[in-house]
Amino acid sequence: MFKINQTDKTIKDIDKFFDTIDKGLLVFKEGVRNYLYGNRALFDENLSEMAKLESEANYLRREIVAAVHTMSFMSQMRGDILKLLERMDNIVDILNNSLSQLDIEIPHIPAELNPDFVKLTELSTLAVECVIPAAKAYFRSPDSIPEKINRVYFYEEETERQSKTIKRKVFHDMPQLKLSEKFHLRYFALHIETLSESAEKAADLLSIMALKRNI
Amino acid sequence: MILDVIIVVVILAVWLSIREMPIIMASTSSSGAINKAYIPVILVAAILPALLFSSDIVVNINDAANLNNPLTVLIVCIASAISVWIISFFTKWTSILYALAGALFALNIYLDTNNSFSFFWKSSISWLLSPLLSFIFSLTLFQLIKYIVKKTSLHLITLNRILRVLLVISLILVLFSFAINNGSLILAMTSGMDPLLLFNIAGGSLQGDFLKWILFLLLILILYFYPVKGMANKISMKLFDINTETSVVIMMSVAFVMLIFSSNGICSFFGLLATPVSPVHACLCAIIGIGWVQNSVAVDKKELIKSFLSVVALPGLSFLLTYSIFSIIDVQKSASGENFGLSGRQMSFDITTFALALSLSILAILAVYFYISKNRASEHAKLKIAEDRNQLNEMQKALVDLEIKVIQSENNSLHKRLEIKKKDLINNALWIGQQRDFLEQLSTDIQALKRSDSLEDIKSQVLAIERKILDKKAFSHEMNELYSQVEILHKDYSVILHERFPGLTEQERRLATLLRLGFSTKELSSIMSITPKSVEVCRYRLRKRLNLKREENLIEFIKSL
Repeated sequence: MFKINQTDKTIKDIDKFFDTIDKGLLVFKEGVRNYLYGNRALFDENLSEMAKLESEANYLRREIVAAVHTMSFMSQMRGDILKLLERMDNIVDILNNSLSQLDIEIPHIPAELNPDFVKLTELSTLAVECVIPAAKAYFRSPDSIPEKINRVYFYEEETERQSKTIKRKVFHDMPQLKLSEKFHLRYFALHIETLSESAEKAADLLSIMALKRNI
Repeated sequence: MILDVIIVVVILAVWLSIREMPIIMASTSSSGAINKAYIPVILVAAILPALLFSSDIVVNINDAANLNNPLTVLIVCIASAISVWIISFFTKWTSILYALAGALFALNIYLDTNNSFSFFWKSSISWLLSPLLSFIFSLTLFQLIKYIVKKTSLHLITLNRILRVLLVISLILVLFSFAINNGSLILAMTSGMDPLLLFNIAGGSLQGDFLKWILFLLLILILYFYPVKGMANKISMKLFDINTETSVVIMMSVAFVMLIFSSNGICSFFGLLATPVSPVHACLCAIIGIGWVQNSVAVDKKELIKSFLSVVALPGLSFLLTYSIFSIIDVQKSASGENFGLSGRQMSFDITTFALALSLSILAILAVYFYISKNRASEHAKLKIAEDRNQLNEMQKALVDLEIKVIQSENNSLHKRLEIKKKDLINNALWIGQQRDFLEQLSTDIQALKRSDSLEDIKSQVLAIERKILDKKAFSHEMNELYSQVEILHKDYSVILHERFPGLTEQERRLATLLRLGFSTKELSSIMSITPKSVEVCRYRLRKRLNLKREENLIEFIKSL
C-alpha cells in the first residue's frame, strides 16, 4: 500500500535526472567552445556524450512519470511535477539539438565573434544552472525557491542582451559576410538564447508551484 | 418489537451515515491520497472494535432518558429524522444528534422526569466545547506539521509517504471515534430491547449490542458505496480544496475531539459527562482553524452561519415535533381506553402549552424569514444578472450600429469616388473625340497651306502644323492615361479578360474595355481614330476571338466578365 522501496527509488531518480541536466550543461559549454576554436575531434566526443545524456534524461523522466502515476500519491501536485520534468527535459533536448545542428550545418563563425558566442553560451547555461537548484528545492524546501529563481531572470535578460549585441555586430559591422551567413549566425544566436528562455519558463512554473505548495 | 428495533437502527444508521460520514470523509476524497478500494477495509477495521469503547455514552444516555418502550424510541427517532429533513432545506451541515437531544428532552418533559436535566446541560456545554477544541487542535497540529516539515527539509515524496501513512491512521482514528460517537447512540436508543434480539447463526448466536453493531456496520458499508462515496466526492469538490497535510490535520482534530467526549474518564476532568458530539461542526471548526493559519477560510461564511444556527433550530423543532406526537397519541389512546405506557406522568400543560406555542411561533417566523431572505437574495442575483446581460447586449448593439455606420459611410465614399472616376472617364473620352475633330481641322488647314502663295502665310501655317504635332503627342498621352485609368477602376475585369482570353491584341482589349464602358460606334470611331465601318469590323473580329455565338450579345458578354 505504501511502496516504500519505490518511493526511495523515485527520489534517487529525480536527483539523478537533475544531475544529468547539470552534466549536459557542462558538455554543451565545452562542445560550443570546441566547435568555435576548431577542435573537431573533441567536439565529436562532446556530441556523442550529449546524445547519451539526453537518452539517459529521457529514460529517467519516463521512470519518474511512471512512478508518480502508479504510486497514486500527490494527486494535486502530480500535474505540476510532471510539467516541471517536461520543461527540464526540454532543456536537455535543446542542448542536444543545438550541438547536433552545429555538427550538421557547420556554420561559418568569424573568429572575432568567438568570444561573443562563448559569452552567450556561458550566460545562457548559467540561467539553466540556476534553475536546477530551484527545481531541487521544490522537493525539499519550497520556501527558498523565490530567491533562487531571481538569478534565472537576471541571466535570461543578460543572455538576450548578449544575443542582440551579436546580431547587431553581424548585421552592422560585418559587411564581408554574405546575407545567408548573417542569417545563419543569427539563427545560432537565437538557438542558444532559447536555452535561457526555456530556463525562464521553468522558473515561472516553479514560482507558481512554490505558491501552490504553501496553500 | 423486532421490527421497531430494526427501524430504529436503520433510521439512525442511515441518517448518521448519509449526513455525517460524507463530511468527515470528504477531506480524504479531496486529498486523493488513499486508494478508494482500501476504504471499505478501513471502515471494517475501524468500526468493529469501537463497540468495546461505546459503553460510557450508552450508560449516560440510558440514565438520562427512559428508553424502555420501543414505540417511544421509534417516535423519538422518526421525529428527529423529520426534523433533520426539514432543517436540511436550509443547511446540509447539521447533525441528527441535536435533533435526538431535542426529542429526548421533549420525552423527559412529557414524562416530567427531572433527573435528566444535568445530563442535557452538560451535553450542551460539550457541544459548545467540541468545535472550539477542534479549532484549537487543528490550528496547533497544522502549525506543528509545518514546523517539522520546514525544520527537517524532507523530500516531497518522503513527506507524502509519511503523510499518507498518517492519513490512513487518521482515517482509521476518525472512523473509530465516529463509530463510538454515533454508534453508541444506536446502542443507547435500542438498549431497552436487548432481550428481544437473538439471531442464531452456524451453531452460535448473535445477540444484544453485538448484533446491533453488526447491523450498523453492514448498513454503513452498504451506504458507503451508495450514496456516501458520491456525496463525499461532491462535498470535497464543492467545499474543500485541500492537500494531504490539511486532510490529516482535519481528521486528527475531529477524531481527538470525538474520542475526548466519548470517555467519562477524560470528561470528568472538566466536570462533564461522556456524550456524543457533532462531527460535522468539529470538522467545520477544524477547517476554520487551518484557514486561520493560512489567512483564508475555505468554507462559505453563509453556510457556516446557517450550520451554527441549526444547532439551535434543530433541537427546537425536534422537541416540538416529538412533544406534539406524544400528545396526540396519548390523547387518542386515552380516548380509546388503552394505556400508552407513559402513565404516571403528571400533566403540566400550562407551562408546556405556552412554551409550545412560543417555540412554534419563533420557528415559524424563522422559517418564513429564511424562506423570504433566500428568495430575495436569489431574485436580487437574478435581477443583477439580467441587468448585466442587458447592459452587455446594449453595448454590443451600439458596437454593431457603429460598425454598420462606418461601413455605410465607407460605401458612400466609395460610390462617390466611383462616380467621379466614371465622369472622369467619360470626360476623357469626349475630350479625345474633341482632339480628333481638332486634328481634322488641322488637316484642312494643311490643305489650305498647299494652296497658299504668300511666304508669310506659309510660315505662320507651318508653325500651326508644328503645334498640331505637339497636340497629337498630347493626345496619345491622354489615350494611354484613359486606358490605365480604366484598368485601375476595372482591375478584376482586366485580369479576367487577360486570363480567359490571353490571345487578344492590344487594340481588341481596348475595344472591349470601351464597349464595357458603354460607348457607341460613332464615339468609338472618334476615340480610336477609325471609321465607323472599321469599328464594326473590329467588333466582328472581337466576337470571333471571344468565341461568341450568333445569338450572344457582345456588350452583355463583356459586362458579365
